[in-house]
Amino acid sequence: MNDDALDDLLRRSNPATTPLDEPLTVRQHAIMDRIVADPPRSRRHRAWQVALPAAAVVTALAVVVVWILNPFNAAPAMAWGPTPLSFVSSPMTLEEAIALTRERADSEGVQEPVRGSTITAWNLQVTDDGTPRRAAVIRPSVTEIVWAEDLSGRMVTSVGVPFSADGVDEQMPSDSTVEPGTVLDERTYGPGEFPILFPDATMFTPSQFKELLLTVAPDRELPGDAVGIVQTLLSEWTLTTAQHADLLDALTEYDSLRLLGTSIDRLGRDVIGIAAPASGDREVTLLISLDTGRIVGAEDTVLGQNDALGVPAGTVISYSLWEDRS
Amino acid sequence: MNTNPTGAESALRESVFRAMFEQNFVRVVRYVQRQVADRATAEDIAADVFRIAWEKLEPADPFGVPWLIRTAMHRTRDHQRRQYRGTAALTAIARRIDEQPAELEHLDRFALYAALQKLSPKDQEIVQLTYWDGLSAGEVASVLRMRQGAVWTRLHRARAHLRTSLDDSMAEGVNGERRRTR
Repeated sequence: MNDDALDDLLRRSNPATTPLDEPLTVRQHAIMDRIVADPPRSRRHRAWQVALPAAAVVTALAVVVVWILNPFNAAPAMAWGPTPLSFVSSPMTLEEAIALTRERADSEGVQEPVRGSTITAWNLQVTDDGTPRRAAVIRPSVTEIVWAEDLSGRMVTSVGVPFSADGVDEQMPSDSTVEPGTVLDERTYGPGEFPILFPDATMFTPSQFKELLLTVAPDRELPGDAVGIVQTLLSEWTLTTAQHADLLDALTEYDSLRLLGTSIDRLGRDVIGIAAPASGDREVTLLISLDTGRIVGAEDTVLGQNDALGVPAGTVISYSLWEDRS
Repeated sequence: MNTNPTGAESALRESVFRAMFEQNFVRVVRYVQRQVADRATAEDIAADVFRIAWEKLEPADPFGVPWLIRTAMHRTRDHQRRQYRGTAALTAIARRIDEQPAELEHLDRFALYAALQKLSPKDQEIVQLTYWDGLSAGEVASVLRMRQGAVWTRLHRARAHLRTSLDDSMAEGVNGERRRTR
């Protein structure tokens, strides 16, 4: 292939389908109008500062001075992410751990795939300029997704139960004022609008699961990249236990899975952990329920300094925990 | 004569923003759309980018494409971590392949996307910003906070890798076809 042919192939393969040379759509105009209708926060803030009575400023300064001088007011420990799960080694082999799921596939749990899922999740907070932020409190969100065959649906995200980032303090710092269960975001999608990647989960045979994973993550040394697709599937569908077994079988096509042992996940469930190395100096820990044999979670950890986020090695940068919908 | 400088300033600000939006919104949507599931989500993320631009805009020095794309890059990554937890861009691409007009053979596209996956994430970004977003080497350098010379070097090397990978996959395809027809 010569340079011109490569250039031509690259330019014509742009997967973006939105036309570049057409005028703004009605929706895009509405977005623009909504943005300019809202005065910039920085200006609102400046106006508020001017209007703040002098007495209030004095009071605020006094509070700050007292806070600084108070020797008992220890700052909460800050961390990039939650403390990594601690695993107890198990005599079980990786194959035996995966076989647990297959054993339960025919007799227990979800027997038909259900459109939707409940996901408790957290991810490292990053500022607008791409800088990661440390936190004293991990504040997960809980997202409930329900959708229909016509791709209509609803997604509700609410506040999860916060916990201390250092894994030591049981009492939350006093700024944990938002009650768990408070709705943060609610979206309703009309027919055809729900952004689902896998509209039909019944179409996957065991070999198609393997093909899917290997297409997306062809490097057999990096099963963590394939787990990304598993995470997407499990965030859109509550799959059957047999399908969970098929997914785990598909992951065994990769070479570097490693059994970590047993632990208790962040929702208090007994789990087996399987480590799956991923690209970008990361590792994904897949969590399988000891009770049901189902995949119930995945945690993403930075292993080295090559991660684009620039956080220290060993930092958990995100996790997702699934609960079955029925 | 307008004696209200705040009103005039606001009007200028809005006018500059609207021009920036009309000129660049679709470019940002196209950048995001490569990595997320659908156009509506891409427009939502692009809207976030322009909301930030609206907050920070200085009318005398409006944001250019590199700043918008760089902000979109961060917002998209944040969205992926929040919504899909690291879904590979290839999935979104693979799903959209069937929606596209048949300008190219699917196998050519898959071969190209597979070849792109073999590049380092930074080289992939350089190639895509250059060919799919139409950015100059200087603009790519601004987006990725690199030196322009390094962009040229890496682009040259990435194209060589892509050519090799595509030649290999074409050879495999031909051999595979031979094997099947035997």
